Amino acid sequence: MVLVAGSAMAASATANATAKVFQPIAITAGGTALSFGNIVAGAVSGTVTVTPAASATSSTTGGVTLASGGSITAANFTVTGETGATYTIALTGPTGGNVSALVAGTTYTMPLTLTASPAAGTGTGTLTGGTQPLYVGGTLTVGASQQAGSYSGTFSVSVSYN
Amino acid sequence: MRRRSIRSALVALVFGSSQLLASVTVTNDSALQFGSFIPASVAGTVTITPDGQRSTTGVFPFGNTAFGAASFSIYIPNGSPQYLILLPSSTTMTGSNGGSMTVDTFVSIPASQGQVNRATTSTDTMTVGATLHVAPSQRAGSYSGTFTVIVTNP
Repeated sequence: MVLVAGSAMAASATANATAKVFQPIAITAGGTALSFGNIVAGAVSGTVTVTPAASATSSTTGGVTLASGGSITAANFTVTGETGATYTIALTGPTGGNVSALVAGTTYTMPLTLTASPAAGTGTGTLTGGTQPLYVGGTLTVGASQQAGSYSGTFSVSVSYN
Repeated sequence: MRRRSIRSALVALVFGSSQLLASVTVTNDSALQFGSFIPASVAGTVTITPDGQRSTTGVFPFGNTAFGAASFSIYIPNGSPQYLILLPSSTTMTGSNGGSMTVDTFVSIPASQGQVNRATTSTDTMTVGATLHVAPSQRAGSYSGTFTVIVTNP
């Protein structure tokens, strides 16, 4: 009787516990630099633009012309994260917004603006299948009779969930 | 005289067993939901308080997955309206893509004992929260587990 009493006066219930863990977002550089190829400056200023695409194309304005021999590429990155999630892309341009060349002890610069595909902004990327390629191109402003030289700079791309 | 004493003993037994029918029933009404989040490169925790609030360390709350405390109904139809609560010390949740997480520090409202409302339906509601431990770079997925609470009628 005592045993029966004990079981009758106690009861238990089992509940479920749940949680969902999302995959962190990550970006890796694909190893291809943003490259404008070989540029010939003119007597008047101009621009050269590389499109943000896997097969990047180049176009010029003003006094700028393209020379043969240089490679024209957009920088490539791979973004990975939670399948179907959208994310925000931010571009941080080179120091001072310029690429620079050091020629005979003097630093020369050219302004560079960046464009991305998907475009920089809030929620512009979508991780269909948990991954998305991201390309960065840009527009270089070439001054009149711009100093000849090998110009370079670095930029960064950051991604975050919205 | 001898017969009488036997009878009274029988009466006492029957009375005793009718008291034993004062059983306790516990029913789970809702799950303990930690919601969704992104793990960090460091260990973290997600805590659900028994009143349904969520706080985190390390991890980043993310997404629209609902969070909330577990809820139980206690029913004690007769006898003492009081009940005592026994919570588990820990349980393990397993992930849809592998991996596991430990849940501990279970806390309830009422904290350790309560009582049903005899004036109405002889029921009471108990809610339970706990703390989930998330490893650095915890594997993504949907995690689930179970835990059991015991209620006794003293």
